[in-house]
Amino acid sequence: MTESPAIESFNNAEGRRVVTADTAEEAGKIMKYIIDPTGHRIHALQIGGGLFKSDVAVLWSDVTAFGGDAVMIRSGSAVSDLSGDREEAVAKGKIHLRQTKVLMTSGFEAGEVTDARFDTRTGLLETIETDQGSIPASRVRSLGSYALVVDPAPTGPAV
Amino acid sequence: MTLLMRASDLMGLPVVSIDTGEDVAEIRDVVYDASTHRVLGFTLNKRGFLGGRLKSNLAISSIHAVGPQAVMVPSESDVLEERPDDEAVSAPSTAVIGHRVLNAAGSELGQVVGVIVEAGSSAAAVGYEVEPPDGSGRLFVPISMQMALSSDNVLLPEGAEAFVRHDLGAFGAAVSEYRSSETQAQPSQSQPPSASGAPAAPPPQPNQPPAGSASDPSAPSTGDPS
Repeated sequence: MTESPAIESFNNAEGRRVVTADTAEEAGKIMKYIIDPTGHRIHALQIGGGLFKSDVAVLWSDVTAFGGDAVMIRSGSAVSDLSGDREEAVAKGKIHLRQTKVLMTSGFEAGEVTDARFDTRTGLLETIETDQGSIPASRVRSLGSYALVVDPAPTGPAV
Repeated sequence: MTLLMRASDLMGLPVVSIDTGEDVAEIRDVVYDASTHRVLGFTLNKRGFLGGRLKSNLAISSIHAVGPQAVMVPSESDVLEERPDDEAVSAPSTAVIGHRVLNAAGSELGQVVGVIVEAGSSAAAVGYEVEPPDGSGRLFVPISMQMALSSDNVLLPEGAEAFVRHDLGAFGAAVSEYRSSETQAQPSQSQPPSASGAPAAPPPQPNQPPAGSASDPSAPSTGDPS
């Protein structure tokens, strides 16, 4: 049995089975992560290839456990169509975290997102991994269709 | 040392809102007033293939920062809503492109072909790009508060000529040196009087550019919108 780590990465958990806690059915596999506009937490998981014909979403609040082998969700009824604006934008590929441009509030670009690490208990992002290094989630200001906007690293002594 | 950019490289840059990560507009023109040596703001185009002119202008006071790849505003409403300062951006302002640059001795250095600005929150204008009359390489001359300006000519004060450079990379360092020399030249204006009446040490430079995360300063920024 795989021990369930507290911090996982998007790339690592992509494709993981999503199982309903009430009937033990496989709802599908994780296809995409839908991040909220602040860029700080997972709003929902887009899942596909299981019980449902087309891609659907389950809100993070309906995830009961994010395990190393499977993600447990409350029930099959927690799954819904990708109808919210955010879900739709993600499904259409307009908003995504990985391969998104990193743009600092100074107007300087800083590479591209390659991965993100999150807390499996809360769905909060811990760090954003980019081709130029790691950025703590505390520096993220927003995630939109153009860029992930981040504050530049502090240059003075840490407060 | 802060990154220097040609004002013309700002044209076409996306205007991105910090609160949503969306590109809400793009820069059409930089509005520069030579009499005050200030970028007043920008006129805007809509983003996208069919983007025409956006009605509202963007005053410099609404901007969080100007960088080589984007102009950042705090929120989408800074672009979409009219702000009191936006009116001033379209008011007639003193132009400088095409002006002859003369030195104190009466020699012509060339004609102004562009304005050089600093990356940062105010896009401070720090120099002019000048095309010499003999067709030799372009020059960068520092903007000085003492620059005399008429409808045809710009006069480079005597102290400024030593800081003229032939490439943008070297010009950045020259601008910093020029500013500290300008400050030291006027100690009575910038220091509190010392008790003994003796001149005090040079004060900290009030306009010290912030140490930004500058990309290679010797490479002219492309300003290409992605």
